[in-house]
Amino acid sequence: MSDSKTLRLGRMRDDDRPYGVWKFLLVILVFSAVILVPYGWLITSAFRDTSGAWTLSNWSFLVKETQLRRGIHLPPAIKPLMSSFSFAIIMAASVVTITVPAAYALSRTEFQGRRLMAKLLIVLDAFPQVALLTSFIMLLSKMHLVNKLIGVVFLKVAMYLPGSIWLMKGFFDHISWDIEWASIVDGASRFKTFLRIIVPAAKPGISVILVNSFLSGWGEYILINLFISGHSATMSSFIGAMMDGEDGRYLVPPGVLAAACFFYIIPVIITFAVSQKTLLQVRQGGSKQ
Amino acid sequence: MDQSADLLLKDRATLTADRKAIKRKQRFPFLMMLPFFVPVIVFVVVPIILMLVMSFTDMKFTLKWNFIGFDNYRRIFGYPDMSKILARTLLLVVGNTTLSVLGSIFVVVITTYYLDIVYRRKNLGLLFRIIWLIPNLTPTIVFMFIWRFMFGPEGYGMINKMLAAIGLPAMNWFTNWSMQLLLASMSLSSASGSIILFSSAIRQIPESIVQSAKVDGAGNFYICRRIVLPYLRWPITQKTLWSILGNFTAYESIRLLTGGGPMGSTVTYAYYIYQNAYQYHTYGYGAALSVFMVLMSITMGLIMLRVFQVDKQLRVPRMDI
Repeated sequence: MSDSKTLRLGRMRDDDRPYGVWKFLLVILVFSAVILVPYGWLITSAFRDTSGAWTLSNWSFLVKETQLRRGIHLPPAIKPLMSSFSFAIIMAASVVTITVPAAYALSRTEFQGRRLMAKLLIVLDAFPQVALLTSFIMLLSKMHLVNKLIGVVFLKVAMYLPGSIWLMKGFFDHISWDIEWASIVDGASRFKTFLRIIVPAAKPGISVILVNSFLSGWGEYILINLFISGHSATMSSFIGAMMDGEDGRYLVPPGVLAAACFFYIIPVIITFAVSQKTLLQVRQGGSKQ
Repeated sequence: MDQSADLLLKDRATLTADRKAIKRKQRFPFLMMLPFFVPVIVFVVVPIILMLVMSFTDMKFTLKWNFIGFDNYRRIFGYPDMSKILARTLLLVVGNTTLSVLGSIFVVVITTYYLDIVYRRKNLGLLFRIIWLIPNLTPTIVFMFIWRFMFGPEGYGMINKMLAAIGLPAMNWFTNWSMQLLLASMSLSSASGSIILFSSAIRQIPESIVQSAKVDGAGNFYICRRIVLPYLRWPITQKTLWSILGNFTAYESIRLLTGGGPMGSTVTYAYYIYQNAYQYHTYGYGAALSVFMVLMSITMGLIMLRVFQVDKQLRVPRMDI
């Protein structure tokens, strides 16, 4: 143990890496200040009161009601937290279950209209959500889905699918045909081969789709704000309700808002930390080159 | 000669059998894609048709159909502020695309080329790449809150507190600088979105090319300009096209950062649609505005089809079942 340590230290000393890295380090550090300073400010503000003293009182929104205006209170954050989680999980689960078979078919089978399908996916992926807002109002009200989170999940999933299918198709393109042939020769059907052989081989790609769609669902604000009334449907609308103020001032002390925002991004940080390797390395396999 | 005779001889039964075989081959892909077609038809195709129809009505929040012909379209062309809105949209699109693409090239060249490859400090490179991923991972509402928080009014915002500390007067950022703030924040978040794409493109450069250039006496900066940047050409094209589209259709960030204000000075075309749908409840007019946005995005989509050469990205399956 200690041997290998000295060995490593020894190698560090006669390091053949070029000198002068500090110049570039300094440049990137200064440039990164636009990210580091604001996020640092957010996190420290979450633990300080209006006078600047350190406190944990900002975090009381988790267990107690928060007053917005006289007579209007936000409930404890538990309920919006739970619905945010279920929103994101339902979204991720439906995106993956729909994307994976469709992307497989596009990548590895021949059918009439395959080219058209591929083109359609790109055009649909480029399709702007904002252009459909007016029709969404009409559609959701006719389908009796107004004020229901599941309606928003449907919209989000439908808008999200074209891009994710295209990304997933890229992952399937890189899987070798040998394992598929072997399975077919063994007498399995194409579908069975897909389930037993191809899906496990495409796991990294599937986890990228899963994580991306989970994060997209977790961070959704605008559609929820538009189609769900009230201010505690999810964590994002909970925070949105706190932010509703005149000329840059908020309905709650800024420290409370900072705490709520920090709290809201903790699951994002955890998800990223857990899936970091896959996300950083595999992502290139999806989008072309 | 022989072959054509053969074809003629092929009787009806075989032909139908062939057709059946073709149909059977279609069934599997079709079934696999069925779960995709259903939600997309209900929640994308139907809304597109609805939007077209609604653009000829004066539908308000009562959701009553009342056809008025081309009045909505006439109203768009007669709207006096439209040229201002379009100019602002163009500024946002061009400004954000340029800033974000240049910014992420800069970050990626330093983190992936200089730190990773030239100086072989892989951990430092990774650390800064992760830092630069943060804005893209942050939910928009939190990201925009941070900006509002930083540039908040006197006694609230960090920047104004810092100005006060060095004795300068406070600035009303959101009154006088709202467009600049919008540009800065949106381009930061979209620059963050291309870090992975760009850096994986740089990592695909074969080491031998860089090494042989070095042997030939090329400096690091020369290699960067002549070898690294050309490798980035494709991802840059891709990102630029997406960024143009993304900024043209962006409304959530504007809603969260400035709300279109002050005095409508940050209202872009997409945000104007949003306002008509959710603040003024003029759905018919909003739908007519959306039609133009859809035309624009379809044009962009077709350009992407040409540029990305979608046909060539479809590989011929090496199996015939």
